[in-house]
Amino acid sequence: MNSESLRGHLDAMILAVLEDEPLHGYAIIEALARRSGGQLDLPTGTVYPALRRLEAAGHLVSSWSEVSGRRRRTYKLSRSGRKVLAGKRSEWQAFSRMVGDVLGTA
Amino acid sequence: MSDLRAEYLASLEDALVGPRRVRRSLLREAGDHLEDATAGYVEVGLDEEAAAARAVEEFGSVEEVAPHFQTTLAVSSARRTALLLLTVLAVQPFVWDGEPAATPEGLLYRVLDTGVEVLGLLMLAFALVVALACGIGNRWFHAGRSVARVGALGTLGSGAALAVLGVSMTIIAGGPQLQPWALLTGFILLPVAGTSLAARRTLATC
Repeated sequence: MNSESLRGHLDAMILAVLEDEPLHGYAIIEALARRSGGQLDLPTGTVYPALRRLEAAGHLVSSWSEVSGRRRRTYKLSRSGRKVLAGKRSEWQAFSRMVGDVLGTA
Repeated sequence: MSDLRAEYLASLEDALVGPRRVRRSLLREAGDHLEDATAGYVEVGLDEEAAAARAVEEFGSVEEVAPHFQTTLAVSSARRTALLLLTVLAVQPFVWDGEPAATPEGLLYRVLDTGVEVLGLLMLAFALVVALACGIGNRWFHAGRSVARVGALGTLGSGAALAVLGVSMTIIAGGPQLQPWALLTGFILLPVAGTSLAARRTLATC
């Protein structure tokens, strides 16, 4: 899938994969790839600046923790991150429903 | 660490300019990712070298990834500069409240005095806006290098104006007394020089 069209939704997708549990960077990227059925075609390195930006915004909180015997920077969703995710989800559902209604089925 | 990963990280490091602590932490996270991704590919049967090559390829070329990392560094540097300026300005009222009561009565001095107060307030508001824009402001828009550049240029310009006003007022107040010059140097000129240095470093990251 086109990486530019995905980039606009990257923040919401990151928040979504962190909804259930805190994850470190590689696990976040693996979760994005798994949930997108492998269609997420972004240079994985570009996810890290997005994580830092979401942290600066207060939507994520990071800490160093032990993951499989290695020290990793782990991110978890903050209260404001959960709120933003809920809003983005509703927006997306309304948008996709509207586009679906207009395009209809072939 | 494989040679390929080490080479990639070294190239990425060479391409980045900015606060050392943030740069190290970004590079460490990139290194951790490459290590995890390599281990993941080794687990599914690739040899170490092929796994590292795949991990590096998926991470993105330095040309693709470095601009994103550099934006993080620029915004972080701009935020630090703005917080430094806020700290410098926050102590000013306490310093100048203790100023000797004998100040010149001339019109020019009064104009400069008002100018310093207005400029100080504007700088305070500016620094606060930049610090917020580079932090929590990311909730509403993505703070990028243009915000960092504006923050750095604003800090340099207003700092220079503050220094000129301070020196002019001290000259007009006249006299060879040491105290006004010591106050000016200690609480205006040196702090302004410090924030200007930080602002120049921020400009280099943009």
